[in-house]
Amino acid sequence: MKLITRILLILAAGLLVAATLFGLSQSPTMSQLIEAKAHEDHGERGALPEQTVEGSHEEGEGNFASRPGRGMRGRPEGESGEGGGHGNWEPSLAGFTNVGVTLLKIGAIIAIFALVTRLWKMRQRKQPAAGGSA
Amino acid sequence: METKRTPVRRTTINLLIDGAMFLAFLVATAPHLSGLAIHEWLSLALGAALITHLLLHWNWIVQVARRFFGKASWTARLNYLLNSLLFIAFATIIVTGIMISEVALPFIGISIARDDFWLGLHRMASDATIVILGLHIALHWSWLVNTTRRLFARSTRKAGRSGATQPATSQESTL
Ligand code: HEM
Repeated sequence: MKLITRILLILAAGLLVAATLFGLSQSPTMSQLIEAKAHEDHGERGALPEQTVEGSHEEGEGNFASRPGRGMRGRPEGESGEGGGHGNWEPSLAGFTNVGVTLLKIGAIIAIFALVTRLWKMRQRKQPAAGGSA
Repeated sequence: METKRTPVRRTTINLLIDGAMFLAFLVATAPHLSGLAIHEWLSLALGAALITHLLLHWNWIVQVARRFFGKASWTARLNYLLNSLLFIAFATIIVTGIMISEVALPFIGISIARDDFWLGLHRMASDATIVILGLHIALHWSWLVNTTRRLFARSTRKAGRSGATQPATSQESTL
């Protein structure tokens, strides 16, 4: 058990590093990011609807560079109508907002839980337990 | 003077793995930040880390499973239920993620026709996981605080001679 845990730990760590490196190597280059930005601007002129067709983007298919033609824009509720950009899966620092929002949500849940537990404990202290669990 | 009550190294490893998993999860919830490639590969790695995490806590899982309907505290029961839900939600995210994968799966030569049902489930499970994870962290808050405090107390003790360190006691529960 101990050994297998250790082996798995090493495997998981290795996979994590490999995955991150691979992900980084797959992520778009600066020039692709600039190009993506150009697509965003393009979006304001109504070019996005055409891109909803999978693989129709002129850069071809199968690699990350062709991504602007796929992804969220294919969905009816996609945000493409707002002029593009949001449905884009190119890495963007604006995505930090999502991390912040998630952190806020988790923080709020922890705070509410703490509050409820504290109130519960106060109630318990007021009326001594009439048997049952600890 | 100080006696180590818990196998500190193991606890530290647990804390580090949990911290790394939490960070990876945060990044996973923001594919707009990382881009899709990192999103997919990192999340798949997170799945592997999750299995390790489960194995590290395997004794707890077996013990509480045995006592679940017998004499277990309500906290332990709630904890168990929550962890099971967390596992189900996580598994759902990973499976649905694989079903909608646009980088990882095509990379190994598999491509599945896109079905928005999986995407809907992917989002739903992701949202549910945030809530369950919040509760999970809340339930383990004292462990988290105590272990972190002990870790820092040890490293400051090691680093300097400033003797004013207070080892955290495990009874100190914050929640
Ligand atoms: C902890 C694990 C994961 C979390 C928290 C997570 C969360 C998310 C979120 C929040 C989105 C954005 C949904 C939207 O706004 O439309 C998303 C999209 C996506 N995820 Fe994941 N995900 C995880 C794992 C995975 C895995 C393992 C894969 C594939 C191997 C994957 C593939 C995708 C894809 C392809 C999209 C884009 C869907 C689209 O085109 O709209 N995810 N994920």
